[in-house]
Amino acid sequence: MPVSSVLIGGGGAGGCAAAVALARRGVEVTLVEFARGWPDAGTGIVVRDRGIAAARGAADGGFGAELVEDLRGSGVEARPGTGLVGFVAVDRHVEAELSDGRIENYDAVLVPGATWRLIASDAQRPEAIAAVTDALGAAG
Amino acid sequence: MASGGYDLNLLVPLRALLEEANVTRAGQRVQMGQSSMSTALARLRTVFNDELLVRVGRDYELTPLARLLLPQVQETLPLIERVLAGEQEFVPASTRRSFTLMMTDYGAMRLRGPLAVVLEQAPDMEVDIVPLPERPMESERDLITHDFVVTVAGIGIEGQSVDLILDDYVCLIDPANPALVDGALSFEAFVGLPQAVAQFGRLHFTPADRRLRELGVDRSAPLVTTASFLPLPSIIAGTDLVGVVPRVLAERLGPVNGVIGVEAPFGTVPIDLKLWWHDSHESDPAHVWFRDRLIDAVRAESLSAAR
Repeated sequence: MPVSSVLIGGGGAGGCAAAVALARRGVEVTLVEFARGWPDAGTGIVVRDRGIAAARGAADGGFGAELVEDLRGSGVEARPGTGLVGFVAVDRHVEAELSDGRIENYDAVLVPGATWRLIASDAQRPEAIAAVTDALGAAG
Repeated sequence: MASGGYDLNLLVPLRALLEEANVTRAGQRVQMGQSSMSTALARLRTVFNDELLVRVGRDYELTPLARLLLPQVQETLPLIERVLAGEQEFVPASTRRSFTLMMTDYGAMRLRGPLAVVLEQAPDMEVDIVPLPERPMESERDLITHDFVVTVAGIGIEGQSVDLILDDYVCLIDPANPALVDGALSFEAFVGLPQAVAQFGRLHFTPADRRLRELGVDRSAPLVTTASFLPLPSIIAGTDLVGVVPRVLAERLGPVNGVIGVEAPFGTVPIDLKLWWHDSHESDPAHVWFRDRLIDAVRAESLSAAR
């Protein structure tokens, strides 16, 4: 079964890039990000080094500014102030519980991070993996 | 628990799934892990040879069979639970129970006395009064998860109901307001006055709201808005504002604030408050006892008021 709707849990640089890539391949993407000031306040990367406290926010043309522009033109549904609270795979889809109390169904849920997680039902896992690795240009 | 080849343990997740219409909430409701609830759904689908919950976009819809099953399950499961609990005869004086009632501030004002009478007879019972939901009766859920709702008819509630309180609307005004002629307010004068309006939510329309809308009275830009009727008397006092409130509220709170209720120039608009409850509470002995006592107390109060 083809993957037509994906929820991305996190609006960092990785989540934004994945969202844009999937949307360009015709997937209906929803991106939730807990921080309310997102994306103008930045895309979640803090660089600590001598003299550098944090990257400038996307609104100031800082890190992720281009990504955010791509995002805005890509048709991704972005919801700042909403976080992914839980998920459960149900036969042929995934139920996602959001911090605003809504429960929504998606074909797959992608959670970027140090180790990315892809949540999908047994029935859709092969297609979900193929769709995401293709979009991200990963080695599979 | 097997019975004639049927697994009655599936009844509890079945009711939760049909009422909550998703796996996550159903699991939370009956304290089953999500994956257990997901498995239960799969088994129920096999048992009934029907999807029961069908994914429609981001949400679910109940199948026609599921819609038929839901009221049946709601009626029978409480009966089974009571048998299994081996409940003794119901004794109000020693029963611990908390009842939630949804109503407006005005409803709470009218029911304060009767509720006190009922609670005197059952000292271990509690009452939790909560406001009406933002979306009136969007689903049956409010009626299922709360014991009672006190509201007027005609807003799409389906359940058992009984008449509780009758009232009508009057105009609340300062007696020194120059718009009053011989203590009466004409329709033109009413429309010309600045309005103080209690608004209960974007989707809530009181019977008075509806009548005024029918008459083409525009109250869309009132000078003052409140979230409840109760502050209106003190807000209107000493000003030329006019408000529309239930008559009994004007009688009880008017004098102390120095405002009066005058006959509404837009005709009599009745307030017919009913007590509503969901069918699934029909055979719960504590629920039956509570509502019978509450209805008696309300009737007794209105009889003594009429004397």
